[in-house]
Amino acid sequence: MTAPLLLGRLSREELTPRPAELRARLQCPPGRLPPALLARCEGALREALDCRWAARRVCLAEELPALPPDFLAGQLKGCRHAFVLAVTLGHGVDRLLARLSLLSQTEYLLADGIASALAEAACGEVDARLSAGLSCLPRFSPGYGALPLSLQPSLLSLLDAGRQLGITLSSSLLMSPSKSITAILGIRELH
Amino acid sequence: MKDLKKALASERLWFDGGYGTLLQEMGLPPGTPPARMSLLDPDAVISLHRAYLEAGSRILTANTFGIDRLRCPDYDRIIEGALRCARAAVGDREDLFIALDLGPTGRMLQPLGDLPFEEAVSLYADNIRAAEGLGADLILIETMSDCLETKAAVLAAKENSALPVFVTNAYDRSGKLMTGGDPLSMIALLEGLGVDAIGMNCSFGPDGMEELIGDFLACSSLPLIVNPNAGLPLLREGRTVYGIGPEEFSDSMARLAARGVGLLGGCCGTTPAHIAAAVKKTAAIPYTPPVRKDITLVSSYTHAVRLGGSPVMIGERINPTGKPRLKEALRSGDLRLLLTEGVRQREAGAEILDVNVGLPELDEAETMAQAVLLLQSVTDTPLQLDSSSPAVLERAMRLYNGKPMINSVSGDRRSLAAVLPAVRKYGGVVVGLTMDEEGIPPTAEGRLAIAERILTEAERFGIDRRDIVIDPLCLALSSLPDSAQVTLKTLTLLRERGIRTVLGISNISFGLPAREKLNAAFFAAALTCGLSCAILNPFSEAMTDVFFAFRVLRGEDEGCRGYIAYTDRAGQERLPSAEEITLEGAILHGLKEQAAALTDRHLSEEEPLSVIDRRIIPALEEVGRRFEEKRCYLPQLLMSADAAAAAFERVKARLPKRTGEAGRGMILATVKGDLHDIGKNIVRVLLESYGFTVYDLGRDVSPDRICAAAQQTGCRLIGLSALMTTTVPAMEETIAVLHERCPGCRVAVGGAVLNAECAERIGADFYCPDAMDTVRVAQRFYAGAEEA
Repeated sequence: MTAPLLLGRLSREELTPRPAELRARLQCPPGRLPPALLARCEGALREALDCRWAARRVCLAEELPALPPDFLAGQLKGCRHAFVLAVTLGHGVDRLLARLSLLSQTEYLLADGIASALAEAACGEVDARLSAGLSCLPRFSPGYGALPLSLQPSLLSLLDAGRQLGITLSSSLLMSPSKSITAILGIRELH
Repeated sequence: MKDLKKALASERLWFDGGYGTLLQEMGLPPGTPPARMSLLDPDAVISLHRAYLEAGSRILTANTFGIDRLRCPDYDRIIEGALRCARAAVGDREDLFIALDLGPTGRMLQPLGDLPFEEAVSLYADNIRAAEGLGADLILIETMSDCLETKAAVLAAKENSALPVFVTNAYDRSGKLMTGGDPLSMIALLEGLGVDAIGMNCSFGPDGMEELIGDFLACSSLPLIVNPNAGLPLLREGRTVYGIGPEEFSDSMARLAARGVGLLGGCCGTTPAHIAAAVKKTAAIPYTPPVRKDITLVSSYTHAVRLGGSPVMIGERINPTGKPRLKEALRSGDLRLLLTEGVRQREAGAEILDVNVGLPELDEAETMAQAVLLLQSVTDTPLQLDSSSPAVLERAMRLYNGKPMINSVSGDRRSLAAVLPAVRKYGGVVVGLTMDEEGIPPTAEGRLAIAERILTEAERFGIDRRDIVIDPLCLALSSLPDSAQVTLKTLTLLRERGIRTVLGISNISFGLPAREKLNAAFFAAALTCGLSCAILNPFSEAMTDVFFAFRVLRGEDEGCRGYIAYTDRAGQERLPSAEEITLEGAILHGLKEQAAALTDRHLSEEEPLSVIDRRIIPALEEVGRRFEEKRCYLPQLLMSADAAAAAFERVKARLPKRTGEAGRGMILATVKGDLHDIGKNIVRVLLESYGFTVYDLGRDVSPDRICAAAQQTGCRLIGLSALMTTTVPAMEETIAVLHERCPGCRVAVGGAVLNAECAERIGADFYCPDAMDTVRVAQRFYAGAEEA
């Protein structure tokens, strides 16, 4: 029997990017940039975002048979179950970024970086909630390492992400809204 | 003979409820689209249809949701099977109806996603054609969460079928669609497109829909549809269940019926028991047919603007007439200035933006289409499409995301016949000028007569008179002393007849000194006569003073908030910084406004070329060096480039057009399949700041388009960007195509997934690890070209 779909939203206040993440995404120490400019970008983003998430506990063998064997044997070693999760900052953020891309390349670069850091923060928050009381492995996302991007459609469909989160895929498997993350979080068996 | 429209006008009709979960219980394998069940086990589908008919459903949704050519190659067989099931359940009963059910494509449309608008139209069209002659009585477009995709589906229905079209959208608890639209914007769009019934489905329970139905009841003239879920999904004993049972569901549905909702049913989690209980409970509630609402709405993809209540400001600045800079930009295909004008007008209080890109030597239809697409990417302000060419208007109406305003028609029958059919098809609010083949009547009565003729003609074309806004026109006072009086009297006569009005204010003062003073007084007088909307310059303080003051004086500005915000904004005007800073310093620190202002100062005492060579270029070189030595970071480099570009802009205005520059350029594109464009945009800004001409083709660009651009521009240096490992093959293919078809072209590549080795392997001529490096490549390329 399939486990229930867990759904939720995160408020603006619940999203706090890690300083190192922010620095990496901005490609610059935040302190080197004009504070008013950064504040304007971050304020506009927080105004535009509508952060939702979905997660489901799955049985790897039954519900994710397409997982590459080396990934199962490696990053998910010893796991029979995992959480599949998706978070998104919503279409409002994409509209804001599209707008900035036409108006100011500096603000576009900064807002895109901050948005990525916010999405990562959202994913971290959901990860923490799911793994509370469990022993979970670090999360992995399709498109990185041994986890191919071609897994994206099945992850999203396990989460009914089209309807629940408004996430759709392009023909090259890019997610829209662009500031969305899917991930697999292995659950360690307790003996 | 079945007559759905007649039934709609006289009685409440019940849809069926949910299918997915019930079909799973009947053996639909997990992960299989429910639509397949019509082929796997038609008897199960038929028995579920019959259960709904026994419950009292009069409209069955055929089991065709969620499939199309892209997702199911055998979509036509599925549709045929689904309609066969529905027909088997309905039999020959004349009082039961079958809906061809269409849902979202599961893809995001351009510009946010990669699905082209016309491709979406064609996906829906294929489904509709596959259902032709198979017994559907209506087309139901449901669970739509995006305004533009909804429009694509409706157009497909209208272009491929004569069946009635019903549309329901999936709102969230805050009353917004996934991409931001609210009920009023969807009412505007869908009534404009001429659908037959509208409403909501899915998302949440009937209680949530009771909260949102108010806007529909108040503003829509159509029969309303409410197909809620059986509440929000809940977890019970490890299973997803819907919390609202038949009893609670039917109480809520009865309240909705009593408030005037004529089409009711259910979505996820509802069962024949839910429908049966609700049908029973509403049997005694009398049916109230919908009433036409005399409301004029213009909309974008997020919201609607209502004309006829509080006056509305339409920004007039996007128009090349009398604006040499905008003209020059449009001629060179650069729409950035136009976008900035759009955003600034919105900030200044414009609620609708007039868009006119008519220039004799320009492909106006193409430019207008681009302008509409890009403007809708930077602002959600509804647009007024302004052209004298009906073909230009029609093309823009088709791709506009919302219900536009259209400027304009006159009382001349040829003008009406050329524009009104497209308005009937796509929806829109049309400006009708009170003039005809004889000219502009000198009296108010004469202009009123033309207005009445336009309204009558519009109705003859099937357009509701509420969608016509009359412009009583004003002529220059300097040549016609009673001009203002005639216009004001016409306004009064029009208002007495409940007709909406619009006026371009500034004509009145043509040929007179201190025009703003007259304009402002005339504007105030026109507002007092009931003017619905004015086309004006939102940057003219004299005009905006009148506008915001009038609203507050008329008691239409709750808590005087609009007025206070307006005056706050006026006080905020930033003064140029008093800080002593050089142009070089402004560029080094990325201070755009200061760089522009300081350039102007230098230009008053220095030759333009000297400002470039002695100030801008050395400052840029310094930033470039710092970046290369890792003493400054990418955002800082970009800010400096932005500032330098602003400085260049000012110098360029003083320079005679440089002729030799045409060759010194670079074509940029993100390759097919890749939607990332930040890196490419940074390269563009940097190249431009160094004075190169950049032909930016955007993202997700096919090899064909790049070849065409190379041939068209004669530019031989091409830069390609890719961010994903999965799009590197597309880059390789593009390079091969370019080398084959455009000999002499050189291709530079960059992007996070590349390195020098990979670039060489895929056949690139240059590898650029970062934006600065691209500038160096371009400099070397053209230096080499000069030597050779």
